[in-house]
Amino acid sequence: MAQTFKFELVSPEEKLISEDVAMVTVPGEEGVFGVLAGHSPLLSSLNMGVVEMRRDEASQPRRIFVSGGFADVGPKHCTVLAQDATDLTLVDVTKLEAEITKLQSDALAAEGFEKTRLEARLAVAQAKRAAL
Amino acid sequence: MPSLKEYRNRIASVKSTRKITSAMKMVAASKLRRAQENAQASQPYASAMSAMLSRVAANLVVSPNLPKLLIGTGSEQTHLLIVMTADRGLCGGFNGNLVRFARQQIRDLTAAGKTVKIVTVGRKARDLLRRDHRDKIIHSVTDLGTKGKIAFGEADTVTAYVLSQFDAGSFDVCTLIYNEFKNVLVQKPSAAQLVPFRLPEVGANDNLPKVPYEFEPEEDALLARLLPQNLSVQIYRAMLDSAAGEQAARMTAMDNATRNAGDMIKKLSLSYNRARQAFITKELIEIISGAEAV
Repeated sequence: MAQTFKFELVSPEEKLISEDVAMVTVPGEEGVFGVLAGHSPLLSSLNMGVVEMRRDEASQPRRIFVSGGFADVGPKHCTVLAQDATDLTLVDVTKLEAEITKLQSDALAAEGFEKTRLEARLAVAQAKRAAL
Repeated sequence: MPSLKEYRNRIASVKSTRKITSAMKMVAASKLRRAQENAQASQPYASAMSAMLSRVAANLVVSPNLPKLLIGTGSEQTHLLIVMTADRGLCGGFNGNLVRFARQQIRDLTAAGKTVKIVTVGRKARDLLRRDHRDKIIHSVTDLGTKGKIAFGEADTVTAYVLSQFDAGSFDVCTLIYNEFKNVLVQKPSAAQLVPFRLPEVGANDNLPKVPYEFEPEEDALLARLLPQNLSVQIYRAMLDSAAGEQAARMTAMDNATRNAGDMIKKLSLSYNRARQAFITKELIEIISGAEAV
């Protein structure tokens, strides 16, 4: 039995996940990194991507999409601060695709400040689609 | 002296007012509970963010290359005030007190020769400040949390606007004016400086383990990412505080109104009964003296 550590996934609105896990993979800004118990202290910002968590080595990972954020890693904990986190098993593909199409047309029509915001949302939606 | 019918009408109208205020009080109480839960749920993120900031700050070398959000633009000429109130009234002095506080700040700043710009959050702030500071308001946000809960995205939109203004160099110092939720009875108008941001004192987080941290990317690059996010977090927390405060203030105000209505009904019923008694006595006297005359 591998050693476990505390994994927490926190969004600004609430604490989403808090459980003991054996391994977590985090999309760090300078490359994806894995975290096991006893990891040296690290603060990292995250890219858009997928956080994978495994309760033990044999089990299937639970995959959660995050749209960027920060991770605070220590020997006994790993805290991921994510602004937008979605469990990939719960994503409705048709809905997501409809959203992408809509954002694409909206972003084309919008201008200035609004356009950059829509484009950012579009990039998140597309990355989410790619991660599925 | 009003007639009996007038008394009856007034009593009926005060009674229905009392019914409305007590219903509003109940609604506010349940909304307050939800608002407090939301505020509590946002706590872990905010405290983790502040812990991260102080960790980075502890390892930071002071240099002029640090993000401007932290060290400022080097000037203090233009102030941006974010004034945050509720969208609705009927919550006692909640909005009034805050706007009075904001006006005082504006006066002080203008007296010191600074330029003031205002971003309002909440309909009341916009409507009240429009009267005398119309020229200073550069942006307004209303209808927060119309879906029952204030989403982080709403704070993020405000932040995005503020940051775009900052990058364009249109202000030097940004202060957030909002009602701090002390407890259900007390909401205190307060001002929190957001830009340049004062990092939490390292001493305030003494429970942090004293271990050398690794940073990815480098400290200053990481800080450049943390700071805008932190701005959103601060604004979001103020929104939640303000929302909880609004409901608390409304609950108190409606509780008072219900009690006042009750007092008024008591007084009116007393007068009504007196008037009725006087009327009966008068009728009796008339009958008796009529009978005596015969």
